[in-house]
Amino acid sequence: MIRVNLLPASRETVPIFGAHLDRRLMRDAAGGVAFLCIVSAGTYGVQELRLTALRAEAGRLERTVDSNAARRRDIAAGAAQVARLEQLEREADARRRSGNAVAATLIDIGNAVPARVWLDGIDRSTGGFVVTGAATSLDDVGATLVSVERSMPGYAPALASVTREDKSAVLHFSLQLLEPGPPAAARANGVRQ
Amino acid sequence: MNVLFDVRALPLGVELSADRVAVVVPQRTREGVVAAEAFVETVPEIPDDELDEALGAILRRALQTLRSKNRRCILSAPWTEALSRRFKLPPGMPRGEAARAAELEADVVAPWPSSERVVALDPIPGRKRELLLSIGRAATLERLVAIAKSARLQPVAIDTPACAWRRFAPQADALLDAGSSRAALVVFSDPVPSFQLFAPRLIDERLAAQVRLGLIEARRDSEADVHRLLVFAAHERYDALAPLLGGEGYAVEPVRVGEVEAPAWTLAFALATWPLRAWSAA
Repeated sequence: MIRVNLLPASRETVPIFGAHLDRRLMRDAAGGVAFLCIVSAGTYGVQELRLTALRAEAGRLERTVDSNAARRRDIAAGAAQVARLEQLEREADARRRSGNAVAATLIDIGNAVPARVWLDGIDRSTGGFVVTGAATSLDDVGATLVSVERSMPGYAPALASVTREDKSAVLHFSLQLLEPGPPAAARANGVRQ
Repeated sequence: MNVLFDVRALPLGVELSADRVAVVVPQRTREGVVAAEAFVETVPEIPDDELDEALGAILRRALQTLRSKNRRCILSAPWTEALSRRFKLPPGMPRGEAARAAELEADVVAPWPSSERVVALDPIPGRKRELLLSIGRAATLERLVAIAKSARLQPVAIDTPACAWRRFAPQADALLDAGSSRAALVVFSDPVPSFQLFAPRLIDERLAAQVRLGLIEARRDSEADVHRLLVFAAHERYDALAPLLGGEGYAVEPVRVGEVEAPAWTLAFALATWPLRAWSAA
């Protein structure tokens, strides 16, 4: 519906501390402040409610954590026992495999010796093996050294000694085989001409 | 239920003129708005400098007579002291800038300088790009407010008679207000009603002739093609005017408020509908 409002603007003033302030302006300002206060109070109330709910949830979770402490200790003890058993298993496996490895090495050494060379003995020493044998020539001794080096990668064969008995055609030799990754001191002490 | 839904009573409709003082207490009902109470008193012939005091005294008497304790009221600007125009709003113009543009428009159309006028911009229902620019004479409006306040009334708006009649008679094409010594013809052109004020105390034949001329001019100027004409006048005068106007083919009817024909407080009742978005008279 069409309508008009020609009501003149109110010029009423309010005396405050000697100043005459416009009543409508004061009313609008007071209304704005009241609106802001209401909005702020509402927001504060909502946030307080949320905070209260979050605190309650945090307390509940803390109680849950506390109630599970004994179970966590049992789990930790179980995990430690599992780790210890796994360690034992690894050690047992290593011990079980260690004999096989020595036997395989002895076979490799035997297979690597050429036909014109025979072995007198294989001794297990610190950090490796000491192989003693005999051959009819110095070339066969050298071929033995090369053959062992090729067929046993990782080992470092070294000729320790070669001797000949008086007026005999047989040469006695000694090879030093160092196991892979031995201590440097053992390697240094292992080979002597 | 009233506490929940009837949040605030409608303000009183108050007509203050040199001819009469009318006060209507409106009331919402299921059927529409009714005049719960009404007060009308003719203003006696008195000097102009005593008129305001006399109007205030009549108003105070009216409020003592009426049972309503509501003191909020709608006043009406005199016909000659306010005018309304359609104000087209350029696209994208903010409201503050529109108010300044309305002041410039008022410089052109209003006969009063800027310091002596009140400018109002009101929305026109259904038209987003147009506003109703109204200009009133500040001294007259402030005088009306002072009279109302002297009777402890609290004016909430000052409407124009043309807009009040438009709200009162939404189905009519024009309305002849012959209830006072000076008659006025309101043509309900779209969207802003226009009015023509006649000389005081015209005889009926002369008044009817000028009304016919005004309606012909309205059709010529494409303001409105009037078929249904309402007449607000005393019973005897309506009986004299109706044949003079009906002979030209207009459907002439008297103003009615409910079952009452042309009560003297009709304009006050129309003013009381100012807060309503839509209404129907019960």
